Amino acid sequence: MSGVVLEVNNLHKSFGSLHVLRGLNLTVRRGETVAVIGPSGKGKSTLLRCINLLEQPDEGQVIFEGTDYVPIARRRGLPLRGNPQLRQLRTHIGIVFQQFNLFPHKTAVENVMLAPMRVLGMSKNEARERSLEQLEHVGLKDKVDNHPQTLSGGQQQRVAIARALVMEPRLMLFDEITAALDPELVGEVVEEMQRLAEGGMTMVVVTHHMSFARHSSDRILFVDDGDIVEEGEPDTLFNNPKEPRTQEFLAHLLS
Amino acid sequence: MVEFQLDTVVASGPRIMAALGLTIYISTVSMLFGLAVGLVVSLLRGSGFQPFRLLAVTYISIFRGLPLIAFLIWLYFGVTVAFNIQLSPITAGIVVLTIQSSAYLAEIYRSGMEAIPHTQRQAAVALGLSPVRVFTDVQFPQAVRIALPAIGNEYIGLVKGSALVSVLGVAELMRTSQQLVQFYQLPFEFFTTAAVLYVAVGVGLGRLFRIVEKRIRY
Repeated sequence: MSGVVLEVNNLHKSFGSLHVLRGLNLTVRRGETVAVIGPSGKGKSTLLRCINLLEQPDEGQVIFEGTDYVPIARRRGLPLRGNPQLRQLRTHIGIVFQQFNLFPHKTAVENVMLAPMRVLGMSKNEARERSLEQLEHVGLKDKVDNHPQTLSGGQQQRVAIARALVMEPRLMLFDEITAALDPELVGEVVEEMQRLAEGGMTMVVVTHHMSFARHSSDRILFVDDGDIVEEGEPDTLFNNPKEPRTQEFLAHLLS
Repeated sequence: MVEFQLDTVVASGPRIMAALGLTIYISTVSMLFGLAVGLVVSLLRGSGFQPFRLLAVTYISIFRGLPLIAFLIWLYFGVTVAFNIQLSPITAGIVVLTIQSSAYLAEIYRSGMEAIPHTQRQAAVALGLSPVRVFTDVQFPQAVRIALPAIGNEYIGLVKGSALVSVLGVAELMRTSQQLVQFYQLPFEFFTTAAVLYVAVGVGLGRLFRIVEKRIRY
């Protein structure tokens, strides 16, 4: 299939006796924004972490641009250990976490510069220039020399977005990136995701921000108990959910 | 109480200062080696390879449990004779202090590493950084910052521990003070001076480490 960036087949993942992902299938096409919604603790984050192999799937395929990375991850033991092919994969997939996870000992621009220098082998000057560009895009031109602790949650999350984007990823993963923010800071971060979606970035967005899912995504997946219960275009899914669990979830949100 | 013979102490100033210099030299060299060796031990202890971990844990257990004076005497009067090794007393002292401090420092590094949230490593790995880079660029700088107060303590501990090297006849501050006491028969004066100097070095190092801590605060 042309235009397919990511294909996930029959994905299974357990933590001990907890069967988090139960045979999930997912296809993401180039330029598509896929929103993943559903109750907390039912496998949405684990799905993202399996896509960039931060977690090693127990079963199934994670095919990124034609290569299945699950056997590669399995061959070299623990996913967090050194594995050149997985490192390569991760340079193409950006991820932004709920808790930002910026490096506290580095300034905003140093956070962004690190991977271009250490992974892509860019010179310090070039990495800095590109990082400043990214920080300017997310509206933080005047905060580049601040340490994360001196930034608001929204600003920190925008640095984290810039840190992922500077690698020019071909797929972006967002793991509930507004969930840890004060309500008044959610907007500025959602705007960045909207900007990316409109710019044609391929993205998988796990979110509780229903307005983003509804208005900025091409397709919505409702995930519960480790599998996709229902998927569809935003209007269809929000207005005419077919599955009782989806109806219940949406009704609960609106009440 | 008899009068404090400050004049005699002052007259011996150059000799006392030289001895203090040797004390600082021995403890500083041991500290620097200890930091390096301790890092290696700490890395072995955290490695995925079981025999390395076992080796590191054994090393730490032995040298943390061995009294400094027993270790000094064993090495200088025992090992050198048994294996016919030529070792100057100063070198023997530095070797012993290095080994002991490295055992402590390995654990200090580990406590620093463990205090870093695992999400830091995750974020670094997700960017495609190699394990070495994750360590050098993300984990180690944060671990050192966290461990700095404990590292400072260890340095001060080494300055105090170096007093025991006097049993090998090294003319550091303690040994020199004993010699001066014997010569002038002024135990209170010279031992007080030594005590004051040890405390002063400890206070100075404490200050120094606080400055460094502030400088690398983020």
